[in-house]
Amino acid sequence: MLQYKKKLKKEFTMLRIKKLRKEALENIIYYDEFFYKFYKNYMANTVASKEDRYAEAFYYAFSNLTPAISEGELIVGKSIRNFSPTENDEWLNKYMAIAMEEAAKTGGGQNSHMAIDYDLVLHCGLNGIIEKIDTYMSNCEESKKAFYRTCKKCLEAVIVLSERYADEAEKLAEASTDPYRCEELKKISKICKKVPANPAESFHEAIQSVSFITYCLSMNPHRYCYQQFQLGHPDRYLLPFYLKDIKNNVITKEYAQLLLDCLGIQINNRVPNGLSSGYMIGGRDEDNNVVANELTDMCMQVVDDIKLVYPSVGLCYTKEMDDAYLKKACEILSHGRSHPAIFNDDIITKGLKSYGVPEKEAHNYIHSTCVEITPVASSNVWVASPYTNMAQLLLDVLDREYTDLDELLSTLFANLDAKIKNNFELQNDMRKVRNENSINPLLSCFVNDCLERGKDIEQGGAKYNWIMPSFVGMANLVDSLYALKHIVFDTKELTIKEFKAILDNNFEDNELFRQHLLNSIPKYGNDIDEIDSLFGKITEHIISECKKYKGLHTNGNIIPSVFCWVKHEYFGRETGATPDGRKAGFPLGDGSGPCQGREMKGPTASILSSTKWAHHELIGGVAVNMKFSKKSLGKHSLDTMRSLIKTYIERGGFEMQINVIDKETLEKATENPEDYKDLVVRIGGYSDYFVKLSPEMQQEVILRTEHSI
Amino acid sequence: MIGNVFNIQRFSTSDGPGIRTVVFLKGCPLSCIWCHNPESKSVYPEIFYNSEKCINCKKCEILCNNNQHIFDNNEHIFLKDNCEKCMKCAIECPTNALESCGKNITVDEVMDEILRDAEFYEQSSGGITLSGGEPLMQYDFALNLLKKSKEAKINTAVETSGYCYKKLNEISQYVDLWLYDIKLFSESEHIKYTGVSNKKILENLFFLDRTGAKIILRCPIITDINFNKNHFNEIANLANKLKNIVAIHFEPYHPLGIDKSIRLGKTQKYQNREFLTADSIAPFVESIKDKVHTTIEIL
Repeated sequence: MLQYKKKLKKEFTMLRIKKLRKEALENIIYYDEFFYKFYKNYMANTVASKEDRYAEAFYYAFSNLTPAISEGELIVGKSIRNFSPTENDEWLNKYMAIAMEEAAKTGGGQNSHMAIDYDLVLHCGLNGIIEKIDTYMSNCEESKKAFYRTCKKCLEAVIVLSERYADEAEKLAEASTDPYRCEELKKISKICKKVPANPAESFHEAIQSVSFITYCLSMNPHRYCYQQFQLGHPDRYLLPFYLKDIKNNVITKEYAQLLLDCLGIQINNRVPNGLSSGYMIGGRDEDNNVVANELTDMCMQVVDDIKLVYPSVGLCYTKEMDDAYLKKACEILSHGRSHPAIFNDDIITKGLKSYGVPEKEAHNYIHSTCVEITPVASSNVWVASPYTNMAQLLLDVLDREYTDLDELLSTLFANLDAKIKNNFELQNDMRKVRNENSINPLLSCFVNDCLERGKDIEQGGAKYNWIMPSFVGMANLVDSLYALKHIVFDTKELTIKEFKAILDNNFEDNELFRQHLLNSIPKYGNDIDEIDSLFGKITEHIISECKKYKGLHTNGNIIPSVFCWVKHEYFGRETGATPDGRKAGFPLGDGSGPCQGREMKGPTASILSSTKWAHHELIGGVAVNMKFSKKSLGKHSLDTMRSLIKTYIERGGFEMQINVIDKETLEKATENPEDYKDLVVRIGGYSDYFVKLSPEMQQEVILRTEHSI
Repeated sequence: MIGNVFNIQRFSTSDGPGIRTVVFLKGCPLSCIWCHNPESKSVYPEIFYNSEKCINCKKCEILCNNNQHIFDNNEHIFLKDNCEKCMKCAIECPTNALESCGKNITVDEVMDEILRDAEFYEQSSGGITLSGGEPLMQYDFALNLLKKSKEAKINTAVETSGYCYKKLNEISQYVDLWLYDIKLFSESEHIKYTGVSNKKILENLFFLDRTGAKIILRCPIITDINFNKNHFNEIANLANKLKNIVAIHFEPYHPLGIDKSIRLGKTQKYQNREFLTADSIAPFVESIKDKVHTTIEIL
């Protein structure tokens, strides 16, 4: 009977997740209601000070936001789908236009991309923070009072909104015909009344508190774009609540997993596709002890349970961590999931310390969305600010002849330096505008040291105000430089002018030459020291050049990155043909790994190439993608995957993302073989490149892919 | 010391445990009709020609001293009957439609490449594997590679047909694992389908077993040739006679060698284009599972 009950419970859980998943997949996320209500009040208020106007509008908006609780939800707090004001559409358009205008006035630049102090929320509750603010206010200078007042009002707004959710849950409970759901809703109501206003006590309360405050932070009237907050390290801050509840039989492990799954699903209701939101697990705590517990495992499991694009999970891997965690990560990846990504805790900590982050804080970092590292609970870092097209930078210097590669590099570096300087100045100018015109009092409550200093995060209250420019197309640049070296300087086949003319013509009537460039000249990613060292030469230069600048506010370091988000496609579209054989309009290489289709010697050679240059100072982010054919996965594949990852980490690799490719990719490979030249089909003792097979054989292999695993 | 190698394949995971680099030595005394590495048969360098990649640049026509490349109505025909294997056309071909296969290489050059992945071997308990063709056909070269690998503390494996008339006592000292092919049991059938008798092959197998060498039996299962219950039973019997057997690996037939043959200008004798699936041989494997005292894997 117990077995049957367990089975029934499991099926019920799966049904719930299925339903919530479906909703999340179909969900289109709007924050219209918030912007509308905020600015309606804001514009009508012509007497109060800037801060008070903001505070009152914020409070008004939150007090009037429609709570949205879906059938089956256990963790609540998201925007309603279809907002229609009681006034007609004309008013909606009017206020949305105002919202955009006002937001624009506050200045451009980055936002969110961080994790707040969840421990503070969980252990003090918002009321506790309000008390702290009262203390600060009683001792502070007059000029800071407005800031504190605004913070208080925003916190109160969150509490009011949570109570609205409590009321809504109660209402739904009363209307519910399902006694089980009625109980759940009553519980949700109770929890929403309690948190985040008060400290959390149970695991469920803790998760609700974290999710809710993060949802509230998504509504920022000064930034008319989606906010991307990360949930820090849940296997740290949720652990005491979990252990206590398990010990006291308040919760089962299965139910705890369900709650985490709900948290994961809720992220997808807060952040639309194409961006990124998630959390990190593992790593080390501030006392340098390895973090690896049941929650580490369960937070990873969320990815496999809910199979949605978020959460973006980063596993902070250290050698001392039990193998079981990496094993689990590989298993999940082998199912075709794109997370967890593996991060090198030692390298990242080393890098953070090199930029002045003290030992204890250096263990508490977050991937900010993808791979950009920022200290948790203390950052106002502008990641990916901006993206620089390295391939274009090279094309721009091909306007004259050079005596040798060194001279060309010299000019390239001079232009790169100018670009870095110019980009820095543009970003810093935006910092200044934001400093003058923008505030974010709610966020300031949860980021050190804003409350301590009495300074809003936009005015520099946070501890770390780094700016992180990103350099895209590094592999194309390196491959292109090597091609130029060979064709122009070594064999002297062509002058720069002649080469450029061919590029400007997009290799028209020169397909032969293009094939020669692609096939006969070695490429980055094949363990060739000469090319690999070129990559390192350029990153070293970028790192040291960035160190010359300091932006506004404390710790305004400029810290570079070599990841690209989707910019490799975006830039690729507007970049002409490049000396590496790439045609005009084609995507640049993604991340900091080798270009698509150029890893001809397998993953070991690729990993060696990627780890011959130092990663640790590229705290802005390094992303290396490795793709494996699902067809190739066999009995020992997960062990092999682990060995590859461990060697990569051992050699100082920063981050690795593994993709196990399914049939669709193989189909694409048949249509665009050039982009999949390195896709290998392996069957015991035999191997061949997929794109070399006859069309019929390719179809056979694709078919086989369907049935394997 | 120079040998002829047609591939050094890094990150191989099906030719021995862990992550391995497989060195494919050219030349094989057998002529198995289902061979999926037809480029390994001849000890001499050869040229692959993939007509689909040809873009009719005619560079090869210009370079060839023996007029082996003909262009007829934009169709490129590679004659090969008088090819002196100078490799000029393969080197210059811009799309690798023409590719050389097999090159002379020194032991040191091979070791340089092998040692690059040393960290991966260590992490995964992998190493190097000699394969081919028949690696023992270049006995001295193989011996040197294995000796140097052991000096560098790298785990060694050899994939072999077992058909070797040289004494194996010296070389076996440097081999951690033998991946030993067992194709057919009846001598007449063995001669019919592989071109050689299996007497020496079995003799060598038992010799190695007596020296204490670790052995994995590698058993290709070819649909119309040895895919029958009797063959599986014979494999089980053989396995039970070996003291140092570590595993039996079954390799179901795949037709991907047919395309390779075409690119070599040859025709694979066995023209079955159907994959033999792991599922089809599974019941046969099941039937012998309880009879053998070692692990069985279907690759």
